[in-house]
Amino acid sequence: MKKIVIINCGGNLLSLTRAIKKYENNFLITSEINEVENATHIFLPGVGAFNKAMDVLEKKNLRNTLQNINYEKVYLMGICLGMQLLFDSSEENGISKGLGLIKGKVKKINLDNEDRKKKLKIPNIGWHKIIINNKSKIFDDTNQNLDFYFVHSYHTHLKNSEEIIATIKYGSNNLAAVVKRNNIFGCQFHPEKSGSNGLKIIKNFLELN
Amino acid sequence: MRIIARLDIKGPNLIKGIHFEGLRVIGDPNQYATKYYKQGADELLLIDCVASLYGRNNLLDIIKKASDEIFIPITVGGGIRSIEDAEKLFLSGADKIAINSKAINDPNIINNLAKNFGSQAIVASIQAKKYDDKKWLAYYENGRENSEKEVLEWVKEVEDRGAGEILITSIDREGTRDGFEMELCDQFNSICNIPVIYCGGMSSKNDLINFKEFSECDGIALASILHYNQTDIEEIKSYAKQINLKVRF
Repeated sequence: MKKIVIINCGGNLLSLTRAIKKYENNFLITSEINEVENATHIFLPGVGAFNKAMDVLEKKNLRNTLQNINYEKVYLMGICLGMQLLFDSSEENGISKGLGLIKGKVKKINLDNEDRKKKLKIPNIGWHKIIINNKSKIFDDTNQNLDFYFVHSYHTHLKNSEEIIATIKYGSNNLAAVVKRNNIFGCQFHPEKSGSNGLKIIKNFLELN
Repeated sequence: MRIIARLDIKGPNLIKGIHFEGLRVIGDPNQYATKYYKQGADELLLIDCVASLYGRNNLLDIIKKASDEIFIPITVGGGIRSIEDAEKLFLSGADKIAINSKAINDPNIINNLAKNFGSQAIVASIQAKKYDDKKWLAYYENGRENSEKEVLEWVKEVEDRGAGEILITSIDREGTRDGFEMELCDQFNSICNIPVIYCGGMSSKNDLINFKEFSECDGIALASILHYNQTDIEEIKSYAKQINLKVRF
């Protein structure tokens, strides 16, 4: 039986819950270990700072729980900061340790002189077309204009680049937009804020089994 | 370039004025918000335009209802005076908050908001009124009060304090449909290192051509031109594409 949970580590969960509600009526917003352990589909959202979010997970004893789940059976989606939490560490507000579910580091977006001349900015706020490098069911039925809404100052550097399944071009940078390892997905954009394409991604994730 | 629909709200009504005055009732804000979402708006900006005056923001119910059906970012402004005020809005479905009046009187609130919610969630709203050649002053309380701060200095300060985005409204053009105040937009384009949303005065889709010379125009916020059905977002975006401005479809 499908069991969907949204991990509550604070912040605005309203849009995500409403997006999920379009497709599934039964889901839980929780930070209880046993609920997370029994889930089939887990959302790890997150806004704000990396270290603060990790502190919350730590306090609720969810770090170990999330690290010990068998992701060949269970589906996990990290969104925005939630995606970054999946990695080994982040340099936001000093170095802090992440969940280490995907190998790599979270670093500040680096703009070169050319980018600055073009007036690219940090945070990167706005809609970007993603480029799919590796097909996945998660992209099924999205329309050809693959625009998604991004809000971030940091991005992920993966140790295994084949785990990057979609990217965006931001000036001289190719930034990871969607990552996947086993059944673990990470979206740097906000699917719940990306109109109909974003809703498709959420729907596709919920249908994975 | 983001095409943003701006909804100024008073009590239960979507309203619109000219130079922030002579407010007229347009209709039900949720109905308009949904309409603009369906037309392809990239973002919504909801401003409680009497909140500062009464010291409270009444948009909670309207935002809650809006986030039921609307899956694009929502920025909310008006009457935010504390971290708690901001938190309530975030928990009701706001993705970003826009702050002006309180920041003028207590600029430290920008630092505190950025520390608590991240710069990406904090929009500094600046209402500019021209007083001299290439000089503008920042106003607050919905364009009623003069802070005597020079806009081009104030914008640097809010950026340094941790605002993640700027919403610049030209009071002289607001609601007039006389076209954007390009002199002001040019100044912002050359000095800002964070995204800038330009607001006030769009008269027709042809105004977009003015942004072609911009290194990168982050966004424009539209109100009258949409509320009074002068054009719609689809038409604006098609035209933007035609003149090679980058927009989302």
